[in-house]
Amino acid sequence: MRSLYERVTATLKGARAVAAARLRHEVLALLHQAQLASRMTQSDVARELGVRRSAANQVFRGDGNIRTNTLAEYLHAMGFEADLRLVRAGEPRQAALEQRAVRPAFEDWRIRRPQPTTSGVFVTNEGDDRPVLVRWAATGRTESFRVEAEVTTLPAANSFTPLGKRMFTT
Amino acid sequence: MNDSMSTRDSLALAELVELQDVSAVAFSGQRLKPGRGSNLQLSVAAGFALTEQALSYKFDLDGSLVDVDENDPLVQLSLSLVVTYVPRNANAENWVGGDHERLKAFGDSFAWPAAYPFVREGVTAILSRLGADAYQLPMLRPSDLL
Repeated sequence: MRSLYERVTATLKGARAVAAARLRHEVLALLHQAQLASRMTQSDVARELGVRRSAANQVFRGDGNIRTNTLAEYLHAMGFEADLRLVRAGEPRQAALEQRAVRPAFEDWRIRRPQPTTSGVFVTNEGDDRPVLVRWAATGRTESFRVEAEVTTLPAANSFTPLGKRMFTT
Repeated sequence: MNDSMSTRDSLALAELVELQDVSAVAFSGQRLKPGRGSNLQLSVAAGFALTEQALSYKFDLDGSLVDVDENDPLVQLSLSLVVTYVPRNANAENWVGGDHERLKAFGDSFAWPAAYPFVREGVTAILSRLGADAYQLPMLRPSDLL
């Protein structure tokens, strides 16, 4: 027997309505989380924005379709901003069923990829007491990148030539 | 070798290398006596190792936390870090000369300052885990170079 969710989302129209309802719920949850964290009352928020308390109450009740600008203004009045990300259709439901965090559809494109020479990774090679330095050389493109690993062992402790010694006292 | 030549040499060497990594290779501390301690005494020994693929500097720190009136240490600690540089141009031949003074000047001017933030963090981490006060090493000054 199919669940209510499955019956509703069986049609395109139903699935879109559920997606819209979920987003409205997320937005409302965001507003209430911001209010809780800011320790402001609805009257405080209304005063901050110069609107009537009833208007603020309407927004916090989720009464009607809140405009994007209104959401931003309310969040900002409480000291916050919203940050959005894309997830695949149906992913929030699947994540809830599997009791895991929702996976974003893409990596955040605003995050810069590491440059070729910025870092190395240390891994421990089993059977070898010394750590192994893996040198990454990456060439980047818009949607993909290639990684080549070159393995270099760190010098053994007794292979260092002394340069000097000094004392520090605090 | 005079100071200006050392500076010029180390700057020239800096053009040839890229900082690959700063890595802790030893990290230990031992509480010997109860108490908070008031003075931190550290000794730092430096060394370098040069291969065809990398120029590495190793800094070995040994130290103890003591009370101002007593000589017995409350905490002993040690920390070793390796700073690794690789050639900027992978095809370069004889990318770094084996001149000891030049490598020492580069270690003084570049490798030790690169390692120092990790030294500060390491010393604070060891001491705080052993219940000593959160000691922070002072900023690195030119007179503190090795």
